[in-house]
Amino acid sequence: MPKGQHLAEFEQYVLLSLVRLGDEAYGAAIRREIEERTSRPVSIGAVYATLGRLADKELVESWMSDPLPVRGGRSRKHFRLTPHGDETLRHTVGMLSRMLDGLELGSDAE
Amino acid sequence: MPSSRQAVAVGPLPWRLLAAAVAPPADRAPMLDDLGEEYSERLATNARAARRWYRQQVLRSSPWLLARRARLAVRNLSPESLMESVVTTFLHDVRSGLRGLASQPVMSLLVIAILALGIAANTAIFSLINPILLRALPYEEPERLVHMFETDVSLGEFGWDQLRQSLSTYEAWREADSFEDVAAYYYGPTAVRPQNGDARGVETGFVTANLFPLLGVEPALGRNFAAAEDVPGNNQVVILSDSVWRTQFGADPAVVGTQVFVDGTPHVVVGVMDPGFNFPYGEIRMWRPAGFDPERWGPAAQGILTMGRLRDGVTHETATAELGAIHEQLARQYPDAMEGRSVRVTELRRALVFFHDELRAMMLALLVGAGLILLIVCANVANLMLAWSSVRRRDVAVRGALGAGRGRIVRQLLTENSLLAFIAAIAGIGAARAGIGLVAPVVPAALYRVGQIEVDLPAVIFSVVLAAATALTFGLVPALRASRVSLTETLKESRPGSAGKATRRFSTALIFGQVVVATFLCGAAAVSVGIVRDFSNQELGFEPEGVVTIGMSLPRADYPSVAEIIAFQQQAQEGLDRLPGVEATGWIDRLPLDFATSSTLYRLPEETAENEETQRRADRSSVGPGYFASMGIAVRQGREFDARDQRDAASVVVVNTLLADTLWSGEAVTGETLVVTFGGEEREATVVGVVEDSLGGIALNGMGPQVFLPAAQAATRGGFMTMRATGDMAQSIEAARAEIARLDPNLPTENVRTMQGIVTQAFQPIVTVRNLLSGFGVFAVLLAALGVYGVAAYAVAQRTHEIGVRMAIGASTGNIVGVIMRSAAGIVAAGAIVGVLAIFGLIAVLTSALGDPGIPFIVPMSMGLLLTAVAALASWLPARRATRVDPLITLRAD
Repeated sequence: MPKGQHLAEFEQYVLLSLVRLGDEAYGAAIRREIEERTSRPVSIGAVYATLGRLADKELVESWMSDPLPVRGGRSRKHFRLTPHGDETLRHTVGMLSRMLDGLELGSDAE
Repeated sequence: MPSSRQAVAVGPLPWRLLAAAVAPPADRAPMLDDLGEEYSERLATNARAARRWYRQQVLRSSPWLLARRARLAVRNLSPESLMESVVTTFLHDVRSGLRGLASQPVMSLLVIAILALGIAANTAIFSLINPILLRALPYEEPERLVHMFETDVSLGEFGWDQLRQSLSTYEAWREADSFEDVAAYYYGPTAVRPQNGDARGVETGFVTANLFPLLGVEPALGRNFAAAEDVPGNNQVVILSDSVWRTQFGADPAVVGTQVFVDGTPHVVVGVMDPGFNFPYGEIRMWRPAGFDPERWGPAAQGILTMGRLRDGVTHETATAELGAIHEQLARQYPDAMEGRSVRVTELRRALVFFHDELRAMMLALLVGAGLILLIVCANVANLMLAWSSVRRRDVAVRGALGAGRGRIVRQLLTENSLLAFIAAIAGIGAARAGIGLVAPVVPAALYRVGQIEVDLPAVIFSVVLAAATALTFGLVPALRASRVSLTETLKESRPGSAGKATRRFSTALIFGQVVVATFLCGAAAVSVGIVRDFSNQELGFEPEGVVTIGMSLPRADYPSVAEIIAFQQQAQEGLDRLPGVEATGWIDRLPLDFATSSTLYRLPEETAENEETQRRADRSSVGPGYFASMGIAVRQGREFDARDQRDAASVVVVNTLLADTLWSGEAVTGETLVVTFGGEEREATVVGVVEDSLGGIALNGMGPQVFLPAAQAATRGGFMTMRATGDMAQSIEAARAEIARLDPNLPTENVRTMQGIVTQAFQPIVTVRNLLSGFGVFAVLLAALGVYGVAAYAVAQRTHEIGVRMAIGASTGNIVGVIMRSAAGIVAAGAIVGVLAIFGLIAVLTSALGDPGIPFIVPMSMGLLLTAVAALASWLPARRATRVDPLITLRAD
């Protein structure tokens, strides 16, 4: 992985939610996923701005779904990890888990 | 789950609008859809909570989205990407511009050549003017430096009324409050001999010790003069110019502190000046402290030049007023010496550049000439471009139809013009560099200047700006016209290349303007030829052919008394007389046309000195026996000076015909008495001869009254032997030099010139101006002819179809030629008439400024006819070609 591809915290959340949501990863779903899992209010603008930045770094790509099967239904803009994004995410999470290895930090949730 | 979503943008309107406004365009639609989807779901449970949620989402999203947009904007605006798009477009324009030019090689080369000549003429003239009139003086705060003169109105025009001062005047002026400091100088020839080397004559500036500090100038080596060295008897020090240091001292860096012999006495070198330094003019090659001795510089010795640095904020007027007040006090103290004098304060440049006003007038004439040439060039090129752009209308229309905006098309056309102008500027600068030698003789080599006459950076900038302005001028109108093409009309046209009415009117106006300016320029050239005729002997008043002059300055150390000076002059003359082929020899203190003059007051004995009406001034020279014979100046009455006119004999004078006619109305005047005043001394002298009028020291002053005094009775240390000889000039010069060296080996003898050379040099500036203006005139005629030819040829090309039809129904060759030539005739005739009127205007202006230049009526008229004839020929050629058109071919082309 190239040096300097550092992922910010919120970027990690966005990428992880893409993994969780798979084909259903579009703006509103991503926003809700992060909000529900972190119990923090997340704005849709934050999600789109972050996705945009990740797309600039070629970590994510977008694709348009078929129009929804209702009157006036529109295509949705879906997002998924690029191979490079996948690798970067693994690397970051791997580092974190290696740092956590053998530590007893206690737990504040779950 | 979102499957039930009725996906449309819903949500409270103001917040939805805000969200739409802040979102990056790419994210706008999906983001609003997402917001709408969730909002709809929430609306089903709690409408108020849903609206609040929507508001909070938008408000919290805004900073993120704005930051994102700013990032995107900065990324798109980054210099690299901006440059990239500009450079890409520019390169594209340049590439297609070059393709466009290459598709019309003859046209392109013609335009470049015409433009390059126009730019070259202007660049060369600018380079000429720059060091003389424009470049800042290389001194500290030059705007505060002034030169002060006493003036005498009786000396007439051209600024030759400026006189030097006496020591007492200089000392009184030093006290003036207007000046931070006042310094003085004078100059003259001295002989310099390095410790092991030959003596050379060097023009030397004698300066007060404060002069260089006042200018703000330090020697490159050594130091300035000290105040203690600026006193008589203690001033045996010199500062060398860079050129003397290099030629006579081998650029020895250890020269400071060494001893040299100046006029035979030992002096110490204290400094060497920078190469560019020239003061008060280019031929001064050494400086010595003035060390004014009050014994030698009495009130009558008026030979000091004075300059000063004004205090901050003091105007020339204030300074003049203060010097005027001082002057009035002095006039009461020395009434004789200050008679008829006033004061003047001028900027330093005007004082240092001899002929400043005349040169400025000449250069202005050249600049106007070059500017007019450029105007014709622009008109010409605009016309060519117009014809070209008409041909390209289809091309432009196709581009327009394919979606090129008008701005894009104009830019493309302007790029082509700029390319032409740019190439022409490079060619023009090259031509100016090559041709600078042609214009340089306008300025005498020895004249004061700042730097060299060369095509330097400002000149290059000047020509590039000129080229850019030209490109805009000749390019914009045709470009705008071409871009305003009606797409459908042009594309529907079966025959490309017919111009609209407006284009034709514009083209006609250009031809008219060209013919006017060309006629005027030719007229101006003819007028200048009329004013500056070739100077024949008759107009000079002497015969320069075969005359050699030997300049010499007898140093005080070797020739302390007047008797010794006269004895040497006599000895030298006898020596030269014995040389083979020598017909006559003489002596004069100042050669005619050698840029130096001196004058004297004169009156009849019965007239009173106080009466200003009868105080007249004449050119004064001191001449030895044989001078008039050696110069070929005819003696009309009486005799020239001879051995009788010794120092202790009765005072005598020779006058010229003009003076004799003024005072005695042409009667026999030998034996009459004339009172002459010079050097503060009044002398009654008997007229022993009258000679033919001849030009004095300044060619521009023309013929005036002249008084000649015998050298024995008005001796000078410096002057010239004149020698008329037959045979080879080079041999005569060598023999003369050897003879003088034999008589006094210490006397420098390199200032040996032919009188013919002096005449040439004196008239070279004005002759060069005349030649340049004539060149401009010829160039203007050629350009105008080319312009008319272009328009006529274009008209023929456009009317080929019409000509074919006319010929098919029986028009004769003469008919066709008539039709084509008539299309240009009217406008050419009108232009020529206006041009002729403009020439008459110029002559009227010159007449009021200089007196009747004597240009016959026929000259402007013939210029008009010349232009008309050339234009007729230029339109006849394409007309002839038109008649060779085969009607069958033209008609079949439809």
